[in-house]
Amino acid sequence: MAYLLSKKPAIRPWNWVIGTFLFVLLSVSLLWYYGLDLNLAVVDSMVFAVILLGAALLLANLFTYYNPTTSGFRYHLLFPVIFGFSTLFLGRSILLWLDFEESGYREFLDWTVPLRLVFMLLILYGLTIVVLWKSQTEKENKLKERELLTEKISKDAELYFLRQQLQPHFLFNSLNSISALIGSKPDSAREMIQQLADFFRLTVQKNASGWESLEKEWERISLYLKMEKVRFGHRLSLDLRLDEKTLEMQLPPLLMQPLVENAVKHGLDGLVEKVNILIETFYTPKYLQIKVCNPFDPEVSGKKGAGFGLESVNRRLFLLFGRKDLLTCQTSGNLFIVMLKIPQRQ
Amino acid sequence: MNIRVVIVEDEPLAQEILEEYLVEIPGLQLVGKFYNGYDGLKGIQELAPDLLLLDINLPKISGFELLELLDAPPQVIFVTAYDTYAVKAFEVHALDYLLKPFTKERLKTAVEKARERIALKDMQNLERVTQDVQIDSEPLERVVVKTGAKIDLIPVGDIHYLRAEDDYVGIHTAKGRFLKLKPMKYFEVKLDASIFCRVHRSFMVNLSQVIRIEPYEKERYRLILRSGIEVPVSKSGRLRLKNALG
Repeated sequence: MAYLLSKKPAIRPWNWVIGTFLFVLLSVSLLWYYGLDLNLAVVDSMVFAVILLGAALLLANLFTYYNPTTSGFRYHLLFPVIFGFSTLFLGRSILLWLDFEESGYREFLDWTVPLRLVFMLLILYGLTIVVLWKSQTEKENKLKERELLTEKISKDAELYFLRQQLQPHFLFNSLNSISALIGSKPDSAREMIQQLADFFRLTVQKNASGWESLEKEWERISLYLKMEKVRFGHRLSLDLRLDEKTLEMQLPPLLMQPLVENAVKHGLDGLVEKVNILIETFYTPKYLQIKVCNPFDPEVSGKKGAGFGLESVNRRLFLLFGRKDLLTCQTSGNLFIVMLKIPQRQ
Repeated sequence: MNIRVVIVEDEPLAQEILEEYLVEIPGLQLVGKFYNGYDGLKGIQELAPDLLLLDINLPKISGFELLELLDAPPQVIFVTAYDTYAVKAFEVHALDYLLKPFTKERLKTAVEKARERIALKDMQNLERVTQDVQIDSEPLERVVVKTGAKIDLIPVGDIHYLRAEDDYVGIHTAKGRFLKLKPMKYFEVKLDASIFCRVHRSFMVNLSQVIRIEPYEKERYRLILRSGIEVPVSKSGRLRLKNALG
């Protein structure tokens, strides 16, 4: 019921009043013109006005809330006719029942039936057209609104991921490493500048809506990992197990990367010893599955920022698939394990 | 006299460039390089350097936490990629704050500043200025405690209550009691006031640990904590408790 009430009426109450008034005015003038007594003309017009108003309201509501466009315009043609005939029949019966003494009224009434019918059909068809047109534009507006909203959400996501991706700290730390390499190993410095450039180019190229293959996503991730190796090579080791069959599988861009960054960051931050990051992919017919493991110190849990990257991935998954079960985290001993499942489009 | 310098920085290349620049500044002597706060702490205590070049994002314990654990911290220059900690850095009396990447000249300026400060300190034989409690914008998230050679990181949520014990404050958790050489006032300022309440001159409690408030003798109250511990509430403490609980 709530959605019925929330719908805006096609015709405002004030317009109903004006319409009814105009109808009465026109009807009285016509009847009087064709020789009916003025008093009778007023009563006649009022009776029909009331019944017609009822019929029109019913019709307008019917087409506002129940709009059977799928079956063509059959109903839109049929209903006004039914309503018109009913109105005429009801009005005539009431007026006859009132039994005016005036001689010749009955004949006059019957004589004007065809004219009245045409008149009422015109009104009811006009009304139908207005209601249909209104609900159509409303539907279009709503569609446009939704489109705008969807676009905004995906724009926001894109912006968010760009900002995430262009994490200035990563850039500054990498530049600092390059600065150091220039002195001791200029060739390595060049190589790292190239990696940094490639990495940022791949990141900026993304459009948030299009999917891409794991192979492509992996290209960027491996650049990132290479640079982290340059910075933390003395205690960062990587165990990468990518199933050949998964390379062609599809995933939304920049969805896997935060998981990898998270693992590297929390692994390195949480421990002083060597850190081994495991990244593994699995093929299943319906899902691409990605597992990312990093060691952590169960003793230290108070540090802020843990799970923030995961939270954003989860939110994005929900926006994309409407599901909350695609990302799971668990701990096993001193290992933090994240499993990501990406449904494959058929 | 040479200035003795220690570097604590978790990236080898970042250490390398600091070293490269430092070598070219006369009157400096690099006496130690460490990759994390634990080794750094031990090293600094043994070497007693004049100047510390300190990264903030270090594994396990941060640069700030390392500094807090030092009884007699040297002059400190922070070296980090994060610009967000600058205010906090100066609150702990850092000499300078270098943003990565930095130039040789920038490091030189910072070191010269240190040289002046150290000379001044020697001349006047200044004792270390006792660290004032600063009004910090962000409440503590965890407390670092050193017990002998062991360092414990206690998330503030794990704290049941705090009790003043002479110059120390006893931090009571499910894992037992940890002692920290700080006045109670320090915790009153540093801990999140919506979670912790100073209910007595000698007691501060984690409000989420309180299960009952009951009258005790006349016009006096005490709190019962989840762990069964009873904590007395003073008159002014009762007022604060009332405010905290709304």
